[in-house]
Amino acid sequence: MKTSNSMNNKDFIQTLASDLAITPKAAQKMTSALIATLAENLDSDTSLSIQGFGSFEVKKKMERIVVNPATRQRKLIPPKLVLAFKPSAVLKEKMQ
Amino acid sequence: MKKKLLLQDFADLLVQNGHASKKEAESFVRTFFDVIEQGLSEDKFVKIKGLGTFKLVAVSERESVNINTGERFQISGHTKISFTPDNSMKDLVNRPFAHFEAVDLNEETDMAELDQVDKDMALIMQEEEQEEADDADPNAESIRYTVPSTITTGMDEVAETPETTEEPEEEEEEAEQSSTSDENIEAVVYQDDSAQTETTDSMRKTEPADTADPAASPVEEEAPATDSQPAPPTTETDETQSEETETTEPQGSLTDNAAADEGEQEPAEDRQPAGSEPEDTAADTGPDTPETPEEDISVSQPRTITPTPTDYLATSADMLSPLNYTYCEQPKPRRWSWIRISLTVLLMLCLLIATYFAGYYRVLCPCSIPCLAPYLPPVEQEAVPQKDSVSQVKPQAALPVKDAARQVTKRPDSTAKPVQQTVPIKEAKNTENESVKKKKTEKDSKLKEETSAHSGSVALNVAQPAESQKADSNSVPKRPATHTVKAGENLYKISRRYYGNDKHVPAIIRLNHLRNADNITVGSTIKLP
Repeated sequence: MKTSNSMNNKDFIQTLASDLAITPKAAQKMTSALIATLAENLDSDTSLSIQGFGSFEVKKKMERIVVNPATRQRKLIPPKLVLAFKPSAVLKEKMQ
Repeated sequence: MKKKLLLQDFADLLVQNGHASKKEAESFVRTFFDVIEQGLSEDKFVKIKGLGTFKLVAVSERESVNINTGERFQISGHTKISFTPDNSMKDLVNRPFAHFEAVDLNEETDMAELDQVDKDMALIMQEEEQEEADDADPNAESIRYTVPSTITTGMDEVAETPETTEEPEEEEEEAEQSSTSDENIEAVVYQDDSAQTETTDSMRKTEPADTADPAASPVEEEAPATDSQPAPPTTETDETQSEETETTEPQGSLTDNAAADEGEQEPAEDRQPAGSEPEDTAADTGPDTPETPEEDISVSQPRTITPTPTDYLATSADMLSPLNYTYCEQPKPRRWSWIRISLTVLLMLCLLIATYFAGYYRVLCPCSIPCLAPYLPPVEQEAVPQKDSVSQVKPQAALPVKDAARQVTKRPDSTAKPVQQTVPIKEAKNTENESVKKKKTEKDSKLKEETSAHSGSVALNVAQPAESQKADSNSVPKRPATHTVKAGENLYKISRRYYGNDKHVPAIIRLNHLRNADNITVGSTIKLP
């Protein structure tokens, strides 16, 4: 089933569908629904933690000034929110 | 504290959104992450569209130092789980901050930060503007805007920080204000006039202020300083007034230069209202005194405070809400930029008109018509077109002359009016008038030369420039119809020799149908217009 050394989206959906005993199409639909819900509900003061896997949280990166070394042009990078994943200790242990 | 969503909560959310039943959702979420875990352990790489990429990264063994004991120890090699969110996911998460953009910074970092706030405030301000904009005139609008804002919060600012902010930055402020000083004065003059005189022509109003007498601004600024001492405004305004007069004094000289520049370019009729203007304003500033200083403060105050973040912090601590502060501060530079734009457009228009007239009188008239007829060798064939051309000249020449005459008759009125004015003002005006007159005489003399040389029938009723005109006509030597080019001569030299200036070079070129004006051969004859 898997052709390469990495699990891409297609492989992932396939595996998910076979594990749940549903069609890949339904699995795809559910996946996108899950991701949409995740994006909707995660904000700067909410985090999602999955037991045995890890936690997703939104972190705020403060604004900062960068300097282009070639032109010495200074730039102000605005603050932004990024999604961060922190693996749980159990997962870390498993991946060793 | 952060709200923690657990797997069950998340499954509930999925159910709420109507994607699946509760049981299904829970099992799906669980399986979802199980599969990720499984994929990671098998392939070390899981990519999920819309979410991101999970990756196992090998971290090699390295040495480190225990910061407490200073002991060296080994950190054994391990694998790290990295997660890189997908671009779409990044955007979704960053949506609240999506409107921010990276800004190039110049020397002042804080200005850029304030600009960001400015952007947000601009939206609120636009709504405000729409409510207030019942008048289309941008000048009047801006004034109506600035006055209330200074009364509400601007004055509080002044009360708190006039000494600390204004004085160390006086030099900078002057430099900054010098660019806006003309507008500043213009707006004030405009408002006084609109309150007092009922004439509706806005062009006439703004132009006089633009080209206003140098005397106008000092008189105006000094008047409130002295008159409003017993007037209602508090002590703060008095302080700022004295500061204001300091800053406005260089403005006077600046407008002086501006007026002088204008005077060179503008046709005489533009200056006409300028003569009568300052007298009006000087007389009118009396009752309006409490307003004028406030307006000036409203202009200068935000400019000084905005660029300094430390002041901002200091004052915002005192203020009830820092938002309110920025709310009042930010719009003003915008308003002024509007006025600046309109002013530059006006100035360019004036310039255009001036150049048009200059071109019309100096280049077209003296060259095109006489170059056909008068100075050519008196061949009989050309006699007929000559007459035609003269008859053409007459109406053209007569019109401007009449205009000039009208202006001359007007002029005594305007100069007679400002009797109450002080001596220096008069002197300044007289010199201006003279310069204008001189220009007019030049123009007139040119016209006269043409007309009187051919027919002598055009009767000019301009009495005043008679003497200078004579002098002019005497100074121009009689020119021959042709000129033989000698070595070392060029068209400019020839033109300068016969006409006293370079302006007839194009006419010479046109008359002789010269292909290459830079290359004329020695010994060739050139017809002179």
